[in-house]
Amino acid sequence: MKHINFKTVCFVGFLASMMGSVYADTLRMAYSVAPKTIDPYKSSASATASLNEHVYEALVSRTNEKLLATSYGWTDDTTLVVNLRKGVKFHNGADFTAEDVIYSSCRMMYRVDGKKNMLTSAMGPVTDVVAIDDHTVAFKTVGLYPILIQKLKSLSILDSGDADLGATLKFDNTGDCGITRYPTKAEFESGKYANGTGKYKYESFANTGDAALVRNDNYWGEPGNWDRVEMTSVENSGARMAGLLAGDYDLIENPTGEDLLALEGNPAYSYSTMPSWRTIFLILDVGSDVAPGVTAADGSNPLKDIRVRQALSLSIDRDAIVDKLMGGNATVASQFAPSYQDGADSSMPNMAYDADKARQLLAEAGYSDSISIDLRMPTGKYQNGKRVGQAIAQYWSRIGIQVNLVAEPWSVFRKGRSARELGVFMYGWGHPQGPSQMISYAFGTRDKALNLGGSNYSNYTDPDYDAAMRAWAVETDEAKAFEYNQEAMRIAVRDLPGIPLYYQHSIWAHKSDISVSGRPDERTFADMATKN
Amino acid sequence: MISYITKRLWQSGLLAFIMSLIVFLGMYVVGDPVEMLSEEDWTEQDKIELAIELGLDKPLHEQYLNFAGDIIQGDFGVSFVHNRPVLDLIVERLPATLEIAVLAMVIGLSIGIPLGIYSGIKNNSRGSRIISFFSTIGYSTPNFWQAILLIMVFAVFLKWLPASGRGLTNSMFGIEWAWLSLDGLKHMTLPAINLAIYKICMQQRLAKSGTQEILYQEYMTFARAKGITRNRIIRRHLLRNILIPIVTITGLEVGGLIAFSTVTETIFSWPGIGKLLLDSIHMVDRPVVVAYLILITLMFVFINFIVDVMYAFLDPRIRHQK
Amino acid sequence: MIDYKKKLDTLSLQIKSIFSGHPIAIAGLIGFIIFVLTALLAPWIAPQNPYDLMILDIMDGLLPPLSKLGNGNTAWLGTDALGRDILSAVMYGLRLSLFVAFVAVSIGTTIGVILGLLAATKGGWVESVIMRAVDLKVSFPGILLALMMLAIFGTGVDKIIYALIIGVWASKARLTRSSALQEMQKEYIDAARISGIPSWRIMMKFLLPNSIAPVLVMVPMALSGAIGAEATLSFLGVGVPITEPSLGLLIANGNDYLLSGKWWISIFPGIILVLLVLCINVVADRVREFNNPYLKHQDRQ
Repeated sequence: MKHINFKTVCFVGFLASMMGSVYADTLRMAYSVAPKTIDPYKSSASATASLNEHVYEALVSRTNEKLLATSYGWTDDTTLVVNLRKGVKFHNGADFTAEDVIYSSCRMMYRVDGKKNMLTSAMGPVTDVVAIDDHTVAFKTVGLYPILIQKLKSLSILDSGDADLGATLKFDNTGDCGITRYPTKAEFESGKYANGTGKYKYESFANTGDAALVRNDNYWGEPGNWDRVEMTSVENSGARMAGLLAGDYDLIENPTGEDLLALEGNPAYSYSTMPSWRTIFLILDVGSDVAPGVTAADGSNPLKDIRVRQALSLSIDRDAIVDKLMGGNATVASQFAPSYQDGADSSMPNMAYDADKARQLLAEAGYSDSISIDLRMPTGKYQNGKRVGQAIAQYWSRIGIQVNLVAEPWSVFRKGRSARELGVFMYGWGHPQGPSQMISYAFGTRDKALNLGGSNYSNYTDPDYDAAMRAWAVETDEAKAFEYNQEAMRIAVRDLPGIPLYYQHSIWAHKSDISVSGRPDERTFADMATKN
Repeated sequence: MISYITKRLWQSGLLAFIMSLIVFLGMYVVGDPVEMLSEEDWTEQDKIELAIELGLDKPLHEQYLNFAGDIIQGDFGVSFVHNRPVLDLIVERLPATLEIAVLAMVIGLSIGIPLGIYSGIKNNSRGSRIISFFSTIGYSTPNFWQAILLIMVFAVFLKWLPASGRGLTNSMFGIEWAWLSLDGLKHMTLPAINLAIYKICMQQRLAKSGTQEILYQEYMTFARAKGITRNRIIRRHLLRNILIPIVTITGLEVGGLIAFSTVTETIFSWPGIGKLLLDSIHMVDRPVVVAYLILITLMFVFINFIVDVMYAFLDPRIRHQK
Repeated sequence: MIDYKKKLDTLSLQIKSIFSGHPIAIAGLIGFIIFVLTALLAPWIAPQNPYDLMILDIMDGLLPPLSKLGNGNTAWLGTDALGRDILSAVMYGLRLSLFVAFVAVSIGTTIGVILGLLAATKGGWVESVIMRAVDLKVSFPGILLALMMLAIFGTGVDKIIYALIIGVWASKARLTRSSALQEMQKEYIDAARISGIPSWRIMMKFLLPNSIAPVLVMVPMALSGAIGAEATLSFLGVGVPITEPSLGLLIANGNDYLLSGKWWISIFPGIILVLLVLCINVVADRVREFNNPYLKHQDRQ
């Protein structure tokens, strides 16, 4: 809720009538999900992170630009040295130094009011954070951990002046660090310590998700595009679009593809799209003797047969899905991560469509007209998800497979998935870390030490694949790590423990007097928009 | 009287207890909060730690006993998702719901009752038939569909009113209200109308059938025979008598509006408690859902009690009996 | 022996006296009959089976009314995104909506009447338990109930019926109890008790027939209520399976396209839903009016 007292309203009204508009450059954005908190460590949910990113900065941005770091590198197997930007000031005027990085690392691990932060995995196996000088800091890890710099993208930097640091600041993984007093949760939620180095300064935030921000005129780089940013959230996509058309907002995120048709032919509005990092794919239980919800006439698990998996993939006309259902706002997949993301093998061909060959493969495998599949999917999670699910059921039924499409609310779906009750399901995955992230969790044989295969619902295991991923996990040379990862990706696409479908595009609809250059990580940031 | 109140208190306590038990079990089957809050790249250890922190590592009955123990001490717990005391969340959102519920009810009563009395007195007239026909249409259209059509017509095509959100709020008694600003009033209009349409139709029907029943009671014929003027008859006899069923239903209806305006609040993104409930159900935010429904149960008990008292006040026969 | 012919004659006479001179009510009745027939005959008269994904083609998607489909047929009311013929979808949706509501209301009403009678005759703790359960139901949100059913039993048309039954029975139980209590104050019940007739026989023979009228009068109302409730639950994503759209789910699906001018996907099912509920309510109103003793009096005047 925007809180304005009566006098301000009169005054503002008076000014508005004099000048036409009070804030010459105010951007009003409508999010599709409400941000939950102004504390940057509490949640990595996209909406909350989007809001927080306006106020706080990390060392490196999600698109690998250097923010508070100017350079970094591994000096030995377990030491990452980061050089910090000089001359940066927090919103309260305090200088940014190495101490703030150590303090922020501590607060990430510290249980404020006894509550664990949701993003502690950002610190990974870090054992120590030390200041080499005022603007150089070293992270020590317990073993080889090349993706630390990726993980540190979630470590928003806070001002150490907000706490009473005590005599010596020494990192430990409980976050005690010798700090005598942290701001309490209530203090933090009140916005009193919403003090970062970001392009926008905190003005207000309510638990409904409404927030107001003003430009940080002392920003170290190019200052923000807008004097003031107001954000609200409207979950219902129709109401969000209606709000844009009614003039309540300047920019909305995630309009449905269908609503874009409403903008065409209306010169006052426009939309911008950006291929996102999110891949939509199916996961198949290829390892179990009996896959839940999947039956064949002979009682076996047909998904164990590579020919059946190939048939399932070949039967899907991805071009038709992208053109007809997604209105062109998607890219046909060639692998389990966007081919345009850093580190992907962009030479891999798109997944093919050949229904005749699919039928033939099924016949060769001896499964003509004998397979029945429960295709499970969450509702309200992915763009057009329900229709894509039905289209896939359509294609599969055409090659003689009996499909029972089960669309469930996200909560029920997630519970079923964690109980491993889903034999075939639709899922989406997008992450700034790049192509390695999804397949390291989804298809590797379980390896707790290297954190591989944590989400292996395919029950897939392959020695060559595992060898490639294990080599990737400890490779600090980026180019070599990419190669290992590409090797694993090629094996996964060959063996099809899942079926890649397409890469989602993010869409923003806006007034045509602003232009928007979108981000691939599905977040909405005020400075994506510029006034024409 | 005292024993009557004690009995009611005892029963409502029991009701709240059963409600909490059912909802607690219900939320358990609906989903796993740890799954809802955790990210894909979490390790097993991360999930276990979160479960411990939320108290979900214990057996279900123990979780319930802890929860019930806290409630008895007046502590409704902390939201899993918002990480804030449940009671704070509900109290912060309540004014938004109250203001559209009250506005909708005022619209419903002030339009519905006169229309109902008119169509009751002038039964079979053309005007009465038209009113009844439209009231049946209003009654027959699902709420969510009405909401969407309202947005299409008044927000998108005519651009008269905003489609979503609460707009500017002003402070009164330390609470933020939308109805104190013009912008807020504009934002309130569509959701309130959406809630009111059904109420108008219902009040019209109630008032109509009430009027018809009373018009043919003997004392009305008698009053007419005595030559009392028409207006006086309506004021003195009719209104008072049709109010009895209306009060009963209205009490429960206000309760329903406050508790379950979920669909309207969701479509119009109105930040009230109905939307909080729906979001919390979807996110498996158990503390919010359980506490919310316990409070709603108690509210309905209270409303029923008030309705009984009003009943006695309005109906002299009941009053004299007691 | 019961004289069926005579009974039938009385019934038709009664129906005649209910509807004669009330053209709106007659129109409602005819409309309702047409809807029911369409629903029953949908598999034979619909141009397409909209639940059979095999014959749908997304290349036929989003065609406006009167367009030609890929197979040469005409989509009179257009198609949805998956190439589903809206006319067929509406017929099947009508069938599903009516079926769900009818089953839920008949079972829910039966349970409600039985529990209401039990509460009235047994009294004591039986009555307390039943009536408190009624109170509980009032404060329990339908969406949570439907979500619980879905989580426990999975998706399916039968699950939404369970949820609706739970929604229906409570008000019927309350109504039956109060009218049975009124009936029990009459002298003939006392007389029957004294003459030693067992209480279950009193219940079945006297209380049931004499206290069921107000409940039956409310049945059409409950039917339209259940249709609306199912539509709302489907709109909220906890209703019928997405591959078997009811009228409510068709409307909800079509909402995504309203702003883009593809009005036919949502408007046609919406109009049919409103018309269906309207017909039922018009008939219901007339039946209630007819059964109201004060209004009968007025009719005679």
